[in-house]
Amino acid sequence: MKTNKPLNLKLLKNIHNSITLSKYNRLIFYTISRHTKQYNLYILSLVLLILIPLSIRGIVWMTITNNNKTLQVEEIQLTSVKQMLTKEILMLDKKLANKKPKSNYLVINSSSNIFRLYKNNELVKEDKCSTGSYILLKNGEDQQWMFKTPKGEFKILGKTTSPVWKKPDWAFIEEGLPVPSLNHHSRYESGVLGDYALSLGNGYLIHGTLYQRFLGLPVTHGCIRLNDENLELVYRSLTTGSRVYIY
Amino acid sequence: MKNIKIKTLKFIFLFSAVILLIWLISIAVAPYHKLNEIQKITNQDSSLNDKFDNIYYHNELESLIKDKIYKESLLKLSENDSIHLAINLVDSTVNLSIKGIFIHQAKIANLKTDKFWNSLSIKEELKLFSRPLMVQSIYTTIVKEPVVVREAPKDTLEASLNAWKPDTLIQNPAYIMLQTEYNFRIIIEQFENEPSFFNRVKLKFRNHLRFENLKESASNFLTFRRQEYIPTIIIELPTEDIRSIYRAIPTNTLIAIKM
Repeated sequence: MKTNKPLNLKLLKNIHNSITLSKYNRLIFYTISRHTKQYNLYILSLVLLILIPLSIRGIVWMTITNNNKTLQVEEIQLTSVKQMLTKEILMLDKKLANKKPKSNYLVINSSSNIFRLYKNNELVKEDKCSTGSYILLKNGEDQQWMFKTPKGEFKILGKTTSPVWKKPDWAFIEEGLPVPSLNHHSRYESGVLGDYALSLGNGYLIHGTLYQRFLGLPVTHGCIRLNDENLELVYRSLTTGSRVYIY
Repeated sequence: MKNIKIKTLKFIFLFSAVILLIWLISIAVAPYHKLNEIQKITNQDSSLNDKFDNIYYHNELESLIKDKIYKESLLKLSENDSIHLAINLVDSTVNLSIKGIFIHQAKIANLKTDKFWNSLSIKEELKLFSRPLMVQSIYTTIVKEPVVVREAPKDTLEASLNAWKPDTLIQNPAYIMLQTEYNFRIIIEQFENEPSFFNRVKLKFRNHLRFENLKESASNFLTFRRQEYIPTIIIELPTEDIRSIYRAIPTNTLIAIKM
């Protein structure tokens, strides 16, 4: 027996909604898929934009790194060329060796504040020293002094024992003192430069110091300071004319 | 109306893509042009052509010829009064040289060389490296001279208050770029990289070089000039060595290189 059920209005409404929604969905799906095709094209173009130049670069590397020539030559010919080249290299070595100083020499690293003493081209001593502070002292607009150690090749121009320091103008200005006359007795100070001094010219000296705690630091006015023991070693090892390399 | 707009946009996209592609391809083939340029320079050198023997291409002679090239270059370097650089990539050292004497030696901690160097034949190496290369520009993160300006004190009291302070010990991370003749680039980077500040400086240094390359490349492209390829050597050294080297060399320093 067939029974007639009353119409479920709620169900009908749901079905209607789902049909309407699917219409929208279709529309959205269509729009997305259309755009996706376009986006895919754009992404593909971008990938090609990267891949094509990369492949070309790869091919270029392969081409240029495989162009080295290889030769088949007779052993005798090869041996004679080897001998000739070895001879030429030996000659170059000899010329380079002649450039080295015959006497002892000193190398000063003004960045690390380290010195190295060489005897017969062998390192005999490496230790701390002090070099220029790079202070630019200004006294008004007219006067200024740069406290830096010069770089390059120098020669020992003179050696003195128990040196007396003749203080230049900047030494007074730096201490806030009035500058005395050129030969005023206050300019002369003994004991501050240590037991020895070696002159490099233009007022630059290798000397000792009272401020041993500052060794290894850039604190000087351009001179090179060593401790007492090293100063004596350097003084005894270098003669007038010995080379000093500062960098 | 909407269709026209879309079509215009598509055209702009395609046009830009093609332009970009041409630019990138021109950059991609730049090493090939660079090698051609070097080969051309080498072949034009008549004195080199006269003394060069084809047997030199033999593999067994390679190390001997490279040794000869380096020593010839060192000898030419020694004729100069200033302090110069000698880079030996075979024994991994960077040296400071003055009149033929090595006054400082730094051991290379890490080395990265361009593939391009492998493409050079022994004849081209003879042409390029048998004399020192002149440095044409330097870019660095450290100062050449750490100058501290001080005004003279008015009296002894002010002088005692202005007691010396080691300002020059404040050190920046050390990175140097040396651009030489033939447009070669040698980058010296510090080996130690602990704090983040060091990495920031390194990034800034590298980004500066990248930006400069990009600028140069865009300028070449827009003016229809050939793209320049810059063969590079990246050397890592201890910081203290970099500082010593940079402060020692003059602006237009010379570099002898053993590849």
